Amino acid sequence: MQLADVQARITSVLQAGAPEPCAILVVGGGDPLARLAVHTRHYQGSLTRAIVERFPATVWLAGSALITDAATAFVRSHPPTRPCLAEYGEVFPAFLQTWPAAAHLPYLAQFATFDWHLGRLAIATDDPPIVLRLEWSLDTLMTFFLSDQAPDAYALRAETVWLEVRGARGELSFQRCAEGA
Amino acid sequence: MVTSVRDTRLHGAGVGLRLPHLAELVATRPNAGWLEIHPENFLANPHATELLLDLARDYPVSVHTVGISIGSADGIDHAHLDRLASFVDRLQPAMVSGHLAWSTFGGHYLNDLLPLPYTHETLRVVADHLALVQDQLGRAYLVENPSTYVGFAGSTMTETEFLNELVARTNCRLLCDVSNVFVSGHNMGFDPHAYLGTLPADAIDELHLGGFTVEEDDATPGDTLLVDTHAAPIATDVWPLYRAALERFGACPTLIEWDHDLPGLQTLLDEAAHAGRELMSVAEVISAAG
Repeated sequence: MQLADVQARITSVLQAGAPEPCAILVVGGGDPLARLAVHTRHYQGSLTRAIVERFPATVWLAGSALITDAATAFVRSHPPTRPCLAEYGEVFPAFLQTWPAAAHLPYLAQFATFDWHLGRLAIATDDPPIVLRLEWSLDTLMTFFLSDQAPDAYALRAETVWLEVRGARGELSFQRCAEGA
Repeated sequence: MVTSVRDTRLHGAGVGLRLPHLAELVATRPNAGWLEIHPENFLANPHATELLLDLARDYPVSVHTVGISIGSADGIDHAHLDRLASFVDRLQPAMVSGHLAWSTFGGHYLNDLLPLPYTHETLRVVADHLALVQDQLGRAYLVENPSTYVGFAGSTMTETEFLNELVARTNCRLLCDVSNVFVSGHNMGFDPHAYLGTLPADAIDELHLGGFTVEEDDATPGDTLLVDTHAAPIATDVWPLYRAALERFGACPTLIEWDHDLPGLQTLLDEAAHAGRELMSVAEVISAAG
């Protein structure tokens, strides 16, 4: 069997989780297919963890179980294409928009987008500020997250907010600005 | 007038630098022989790169990539290789290394170091990619032996036969991960000492030591499987194998790797000090002998 065919089969096993395509390929132990579980478990677990850790404020807001379930499905439908995992997950907020268990949190996808940009800007050195158009006043919630506080209760109402977000070397700031500023 | 020249070569035992330890290392500058980093943790992190460049003024650094997939049948990721080459150019590390493995296929990155069948086709693919990587980096790229859980029915040579052929064909350098030899020997049923004895000793430039996790082997009920998690101290049984590696390969610079369930930095430094004592002891024996 050609190397490309071997790798196509293993890729399929990792992404689908069913080891049968490798039945005639692998050796090791009494049931070598069971050994492949080390790789399938690592693939799904490490990538899910990468997404969950990339969206800490979103986990804080929506809870770990909801985001982990969504991230698990996201890894299956949107596998990474590049080796730098800090760059993986840019479209996870859009995926959350369609995630049924998050339907009761209409602002979650925008909050995750906000979270994505904060994560990116926090490790920047000289990136220019960005301007985000939000349909909810999510800066209030993000302030609670960044100050490590949990509000007793919060209620959001829909309103268009323009935010300028700056960040570098671990420092972040955001402030409301006029449309298009 | 030049008043001092920084020695960028690797000596003694170093530690794997992971992002959670970065700020502490920058602030405290502990006594560590050298540092090894995964470029994939820094390429998308300008602030961490800035801090690393600062550390590189005080410590020799080695770059150990997990994203250059020299075993991929459908080619290597040229965009990633370009980024790696720029990073290496900026950092000027003492060594650059990667794995005898594959991690990308069909445009997907699989975030693992996956095993290869040892055949003449694989040898040609790996040798071609290695030449490409070394040409672009303009320097040697050390190839590390993998930790394995499965082999391939279609393999026509052993891992050490494959590595010997690779060295003969490309004149490449090798990184021997002693813990991987121990893990693979346990899982695949070969003698780790015999494995070390058949590696091309003159090609070994660096050693690695990492912790593994013991699990039940679902493939063989009642047996155990060692999983190369880098989430534990170096196992007691690995230290004698490390000593044997030093006796065979000489006092090679050695790295302590720890990637998951990361302990405090001092724990890594203590493990490195242990490796350093073994290194020193073997160096003295070699020196006395001749």
